Order: sequence, then C-alpha cells, then structure tokens
Amino acid sequence: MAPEVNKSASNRRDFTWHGAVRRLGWPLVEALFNIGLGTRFALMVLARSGLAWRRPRLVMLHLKHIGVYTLVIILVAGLFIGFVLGLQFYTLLERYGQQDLLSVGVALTLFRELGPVAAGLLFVGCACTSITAAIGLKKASEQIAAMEVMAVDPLARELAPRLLAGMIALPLLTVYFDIVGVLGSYLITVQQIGLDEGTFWAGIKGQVGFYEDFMQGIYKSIFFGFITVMIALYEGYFCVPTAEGVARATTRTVIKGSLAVLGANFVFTAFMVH
Amino acid sequence: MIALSRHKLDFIIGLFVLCAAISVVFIALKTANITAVSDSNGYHVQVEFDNIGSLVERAPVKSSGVLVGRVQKISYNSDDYIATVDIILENQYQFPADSIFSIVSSNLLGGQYIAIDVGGEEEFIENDQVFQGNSAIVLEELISKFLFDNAGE
Repeated sequence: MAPEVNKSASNRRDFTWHGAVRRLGWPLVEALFNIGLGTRFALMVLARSGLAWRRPRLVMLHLKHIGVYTLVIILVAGLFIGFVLGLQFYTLLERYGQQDLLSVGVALTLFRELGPVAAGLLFVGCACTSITAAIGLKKASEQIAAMEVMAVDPLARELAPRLLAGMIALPLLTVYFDIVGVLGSYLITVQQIGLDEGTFWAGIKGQVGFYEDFMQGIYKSIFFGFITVMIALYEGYFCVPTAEGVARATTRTVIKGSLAVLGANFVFTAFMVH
Repeated sequence: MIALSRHKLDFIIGLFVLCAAISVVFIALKTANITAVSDSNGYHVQVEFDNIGSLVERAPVKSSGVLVGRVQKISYNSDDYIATVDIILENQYQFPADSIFSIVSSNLLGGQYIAIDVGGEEEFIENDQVFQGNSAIVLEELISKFLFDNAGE
C-alpha cells in the first residue's frame, strides 16, 4: 500500500522489468483501494443515517439547497428538450403520416430514458458539485475535525442528510423534467404546428403505462440520486484540504458522477427491457 | 470499528466490488441481446428465391406468426442467377419436409420476413437441406400485371 513504492519506481532511471510491472500495476491497485474505500464509506454513511431520520429538519435544509435551487435549470432544460423532441418526432413521423403517435414517442422517450438521465446529468453539474465543494471546504477549514472533537459524528450530522436529500430530490426533479418535457412538445406540436390536441393527450393516456414506463424512470432516478451524491460526498470528504484540492475534487465529481449515471442507465435499461 | 482512512481491507473490498460490477455489466450485456434465437442452437436450411424483395440479414422466420428462426446470410448464386438465403431454425421446432418457404411483408411500409407454411409429410426437415422458396411479391410487378391484363380486355 505504501506510496513510496511508486516513488522509487518512477525515480529509477534504468529500465527493469519489475519496475515496469510496478508502474503498470500501481494505478490498478490504487483504483481497487479507492473502490473499496468508497464502498466502505457508502456503507458507513448509510449505517449512520439514523440521525437524519430522527431529525428531518436536517434533510429539509439540504433538500432546499440541492432540490429547489436545481429546479430552475431542470425546468428550462426540460422545456427545451421537449421542444426539440416534438420537432424531431414530427419530422420523422410526418414522412409516414403517423403524427398521431408523436405524443406517445415523446412521452416514452422522456419517461424511460431521457428524463432520468438528463435530470441526473444536470443534477451532477448543479447539486453534486456544490455538495463536494461544501464538504471539501468544511474539511479544508477543519470544521469536520472540530465536529469530531466535539463528539459530533460528521458522517451522521453532515453527510447522511445530504445523501437522503439527494435520493429524495432527484426523483422529484425527474418528475418535473418529464412533465415540462411533455408540455414543451405539446406547445410546439399542438400550438405551433397544429396537431390535434385530443389525439395528443389520448395517445399518452392510452399507450403509456404508469408502472411499466413512468415508474421505471423514477426507480432509475432514485438510484442515480444515491450514486451521484455518494460520489460527491466521497470526493469532498477525501479531497486534499487545499483550494486546489477542492477544485480538483469538484471536477472529479462531475466526471465520475456523469459517467456513473450513463453507465448505470445502461445496466438498468438492459434489465428492464424485455 | 475501522477508521475512515485507507486500510488493507479496502483492497479486498475493492476487488470484490469491481468483480460484482463487472459481472452485473456482463449479465446486462447478455440480457440486452434480445435475439430469441442464437445462431449456435439451431439447424441450418438453405432456401433459393428468384427475388428476395427487401429481405435483410437477421430478418425473422415465422410460422403461424411465431418467431422460429432467423435469416443468417443472404448471397447471390451467379451460376443459376438466383438468391440463396441461409436460415437458422431453432432446434425445438421441427417442420415437415414439404413445408413451403415464402417471403411476405409484415406491413405496408416494408419489413419483410420469411413465413413457413407447414406441409403434411411425415418426415422432418433435416440440417443443410435446400428448398425452393416463393419469392417476395413486388408491388410494382403486381400493379403492372393488373394494368396489362385489363388493357388486353
């Protein structure tokens, strides 16, 4: 585990085989350690979420920060994506004279895939970065150490409420994204292009299932909320406690969080498609 | 309790979690492969057509509307000037040896598949057997036939 191994290997001028193997293997070993530490960290935060359940006010505070303040970007993005989806489906379906199916296509795309993923990516960029920065700065200014001195568990007091808030906020934001997206496509196709209003809503009502389509996206987004906030907390908690360290941790949160959302979405979709 | 800093145990946990994640992705890739028929467990039949229309590789082969196999390969036989279509049928489905293979459309927009009309013979289709199939109906030919037939009257 000692990082000195790495140092001595990189300092060596002349090529040796065991040095090369060491240099190649070290990043892998490092990654395995980080995954292990991250898993243990996640389990510990979950195990200490009891305080957050007993004091919902803590969760509410973070819900306001990571939920309500993300709402604006979610609503605007959802509206524009709804516009584009409506137009795109219209150009495709118009070629076959099947414009009646437009609302079904838009709703299924949004509910099953685009809603959870786009909301998740925006959530990573908007809320998770602020979580990393907040935890990282608390660490850099030794507030976390101070809490431990006062026998207050920072995992229970600071981290677990944020995790719970994220798992509540992202599904709600996804619902908003879905609704606004459908409204956007309604505005562009019914109000602008002039499709029939009744057909538009009847299509969604008849062809889109609540449990098999809509809730599928919500289940996804609960997991996305867990994994993205967990990454944000991990990066913040284990960042180098300097200004640059926090900056780098924030960047890593965006990279890892976005990739986690996209990767997990593939796994979810593969299991849910039948 | 283990302190929240790097510990020897983390390597083992990391290895375990990584293996779990890889296996989940592997299963996901397997389940995402929604083809009901895999090429390995089936028997091969070759059907010759004068015209395959817009049939494509991996198009379904159906009997009574149920998927029983897939088109594996489409090639052109330049000796006899016909199209040869290689089909893999699932082992669990056996068809009489005088069954008829024909290319039909699933809807007006296209999307053609091979339909098997089951015959009445006692013997079943064997592996690598060659059949003559009924060609796809080309709409333009049908219309021109109709027009010229009527023009004659």
